[in-house]
Amino acid sequence: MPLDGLNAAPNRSRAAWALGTFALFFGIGLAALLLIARGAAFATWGDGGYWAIGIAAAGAVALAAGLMHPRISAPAIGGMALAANTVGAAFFLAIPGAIYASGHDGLAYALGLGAGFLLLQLIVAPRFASSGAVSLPGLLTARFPGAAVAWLSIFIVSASMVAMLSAGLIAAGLAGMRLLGVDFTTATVAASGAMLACFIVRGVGGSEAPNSVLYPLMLVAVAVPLVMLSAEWYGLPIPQLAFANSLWQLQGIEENLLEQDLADPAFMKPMLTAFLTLSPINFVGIVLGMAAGIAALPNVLSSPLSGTSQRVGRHTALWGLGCVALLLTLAPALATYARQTMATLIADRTPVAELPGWIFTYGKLGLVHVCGQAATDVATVMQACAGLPDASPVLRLQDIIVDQDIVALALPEIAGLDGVLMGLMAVAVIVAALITAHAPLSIIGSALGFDANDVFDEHARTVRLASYAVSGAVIIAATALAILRPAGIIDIATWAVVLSAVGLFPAVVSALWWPRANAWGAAAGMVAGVGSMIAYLVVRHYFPVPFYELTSTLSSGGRIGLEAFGELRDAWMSAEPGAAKDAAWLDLSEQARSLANWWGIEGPASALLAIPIGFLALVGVSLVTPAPRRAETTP
Amino acid sequence: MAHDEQLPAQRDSSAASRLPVVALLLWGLLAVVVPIFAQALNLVDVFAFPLGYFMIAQGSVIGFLIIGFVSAHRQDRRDARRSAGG
Repeated sequence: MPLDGLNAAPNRSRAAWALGTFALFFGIGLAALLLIARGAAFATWGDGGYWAIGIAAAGAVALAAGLMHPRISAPAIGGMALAANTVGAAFFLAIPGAIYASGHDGLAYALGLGAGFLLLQLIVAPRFASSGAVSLPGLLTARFPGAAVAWLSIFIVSASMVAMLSAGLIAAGLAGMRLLGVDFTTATVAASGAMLACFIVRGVGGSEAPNSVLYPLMLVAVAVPLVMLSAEWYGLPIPQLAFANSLWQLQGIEENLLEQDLADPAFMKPMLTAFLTLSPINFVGIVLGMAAGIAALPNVLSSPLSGTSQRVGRHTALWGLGCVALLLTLAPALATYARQTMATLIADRTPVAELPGWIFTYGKLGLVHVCGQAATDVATVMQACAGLPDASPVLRLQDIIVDQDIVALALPEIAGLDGVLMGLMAVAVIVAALITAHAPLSIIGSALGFDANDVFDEHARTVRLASYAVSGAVIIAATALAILRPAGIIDIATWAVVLSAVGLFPAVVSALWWPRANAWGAAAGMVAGVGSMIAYLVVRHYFPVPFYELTSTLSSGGRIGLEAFGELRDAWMSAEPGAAKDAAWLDLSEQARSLANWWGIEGPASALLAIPIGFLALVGVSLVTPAPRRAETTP
Repeated sequence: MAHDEQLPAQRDSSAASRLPVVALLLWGLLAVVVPIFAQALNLVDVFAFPLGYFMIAQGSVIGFLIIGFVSAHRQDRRDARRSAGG
């Protein structure tokens, strides 16, 4: 049975092996070269040398991919590319950072990513792979013909991918800042220029399989420092096991800090205590929202998953899960080691003059704040700490704030390892940001109809130029968002994934599993999913009083919240018109805002409400409108 | 099973994977139930980790991998049987 017809040819599998070996050698080779080449060259170039290497390596990958246009469907290589594309620069830095800052609750993002890959393998990847669609917008427009679904999918895919690109650009910008010593805007603009150059060199379309070279590089960059620390501190070179020691030590140190009044219990979030930042329903909401989003992420449902067989699709996703699992299980170890070093610094009552150099390195960039001031030098820090209203003779845990987005990048320096390991980490971040941008840019371009794959098209040149213009516009939008930096990387990347979850997941699942679903239903599901999430967020924030009055039975505030609200409302009703009434209204709104929710669901966890609403709308509208013609249900 | 008269596309979809219900239930267990009961699970220790923390940091992801592996190989076997029988 020719189900595997596409990859039955023996030269394909030989090419796959060749590329796989090349991928491993390139990734590990680049890392090894950096490790060996420390010293002479880099001493004279300074850290800027790493930046140049990162850009050059990304350019080399883009050029090779653009020249070779390999069509590989070997699951192991596809899985590495899938993992690298999904984790990207954003989650690579942000997940350890979130665990560092929020302790246990930061693990929700890692868990969601892992859960998403299994969901992808179980229900989306096999059928998507054999559907013949090249991309997610391609699947939706083939299965649900008509302008409505086409435009909705372009809109949702673009919004989600712009957010994802900007999260990657922030990561690359932070790495560039550290390496070049320039400000964030300059570093980000430089990265976005390089991103566009890489895209132009590589061209629209083509396989994402060459991105598999990124995975070994990312793994080595994060694993080498952790293995070294595990071996050095605990004599066990397996970070996933060795960090249990660190976890217990950290708990002991942090308890001591609390006893000695060196840490604020509101600031310190112990690693082992759950639900300090997120309530259980929001934790689960983020896990499920991320999972559904990963399973419907446009840059995941693309090559190398597309255009193969069910079997290859399934195994590609499985390999992707394996690769992601290896990276994800290192993240808590990284966060714990960084936290332990910081807690030890405080517990040793390190005086300001003896603070380690990295605090000032990153302080000069505005990424480490001590006593509320950027830690540019010892004098500034001393002045800032003496000027605190509750000034303390020694530094306390909450006095040193490390920007959570740079914790992973700075770990080698925080833990006092060789500087080349920081360089390696930064190279991995830059390469990841630049070459994983190809899939989102390519997908948006081809969804708009600028697919230059067809070289026989006499308009190929115009189409290619148009695709560059579109990519340029997308990158400019992503850069603008990155420079604004409205939130941390983890929040932006999570919103990008959650937007795909609420907008695309119901449509993708029904396209693959429910022949009765039609274009009307899919469009309704997409509108209802995104619309209900935006409505929930906007109405809760801007109209909390009517929202709470209408739905107070669903609020997590309970009877006590209702009584407090009632008192404030009476105060507002009885207040004299004028300033007093306005002030009472502000109090009332403030109170309502803390109560205006359904079951306590907040932020990205609102996917928990929006995904079911999207599914209901899709099923309901599909059933009341005519069934699709038979030819459309088997794309 | 004489499906020879069917179109290739239809045969593909009838031979296609059924919803892997058991795997999805286990997925839900690891992604939803375990996080909610993390604090209770912390009373038990495994590999020197408290169980609840271990599951969320590593155990569930390893569990996903095992579920994925077993499920993929069961599907492969089903596909092989079907293509041999059909």
